[in-house]
Amino acid sequence: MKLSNEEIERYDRQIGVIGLENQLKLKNASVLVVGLGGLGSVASYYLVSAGIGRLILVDNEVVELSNLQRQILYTVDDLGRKKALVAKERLSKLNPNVEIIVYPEKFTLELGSRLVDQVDVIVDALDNWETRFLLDKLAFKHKKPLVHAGVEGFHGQLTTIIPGKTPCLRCIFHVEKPVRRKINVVATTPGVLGVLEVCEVIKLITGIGEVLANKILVYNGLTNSFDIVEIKSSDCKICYE
Amino acid sequence: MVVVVKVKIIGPREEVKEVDVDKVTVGELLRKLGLLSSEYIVIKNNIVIVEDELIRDGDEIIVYPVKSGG
Ligand SMILES: [Zn+2]
Repeated sequence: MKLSNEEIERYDRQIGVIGLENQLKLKNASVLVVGLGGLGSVASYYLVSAGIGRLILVDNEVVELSNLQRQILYTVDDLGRKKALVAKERLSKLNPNVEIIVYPEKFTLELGSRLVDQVDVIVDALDNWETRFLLDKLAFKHKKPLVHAGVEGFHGQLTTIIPGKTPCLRCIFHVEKPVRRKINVVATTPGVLGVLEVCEVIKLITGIGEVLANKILVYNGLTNSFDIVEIKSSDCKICYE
Repeated sequence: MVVVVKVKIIGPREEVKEVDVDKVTVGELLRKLGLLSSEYIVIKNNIVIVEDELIRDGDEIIVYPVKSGG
């Protein structure tokens, strides 16, 4: 596929940085975003504006008033509507060049098995470990890179999982009994981490720069610190289970 | 022998604690600090260490919270 004149103009400032060939790589890429909350709103917005060719979005929830403080895809007009459907409408207006496929349903093993194989990169924008670990399993089964982020309060972390190169999420975070609880978060935290997730996706697809493979970025909004810590490569037995 | 480790806990209330322990694992240290091992990663020399790894006298440990929200 080639870039149209409209696309060349639209991405002008970015092509100036990454070049035409890399912009075309973005257009020819497919990305799966699981979760359309704080992280997913921001991640999908920037994936679409940056010119990813095909985006698959999964989220089962409806827009609630308490979402609007951080989930920037939605407005008061969308209250009660399925997030995935609103996202498709809004994102299509932002960039009609992007093919947007939405699944307003729960992310299950069955659905995931069908979707993961169709994409180049997976973005974890989930709010719980249970589904994250399911996504992690699928990423390893289909050997797809997975960009992980998690947020709470003024804090968050980010890492890029590459099957064959890094340990899996389950090995790194070994959260044994994931508990679901209400998570409080400041408006800007998922914004910061969601944007960084997309930066990882752009680097994964174009091969420019360095991704956070075997590294975790730990963000602290209270002190403006971005610490990067290394992960020792482990001989994980569960990664490919 | 008593092991003294400096533990810096990153979080809403950032704090440095000195812990007197008798040769402990990462998991035991977290328990001693009253932290759930599922909610923190433990770093020594800028490297994530696993739960059964031993912590030695004079080690400087940083404990980072792991966040699960989206
Ligand atoms: Zn693993």
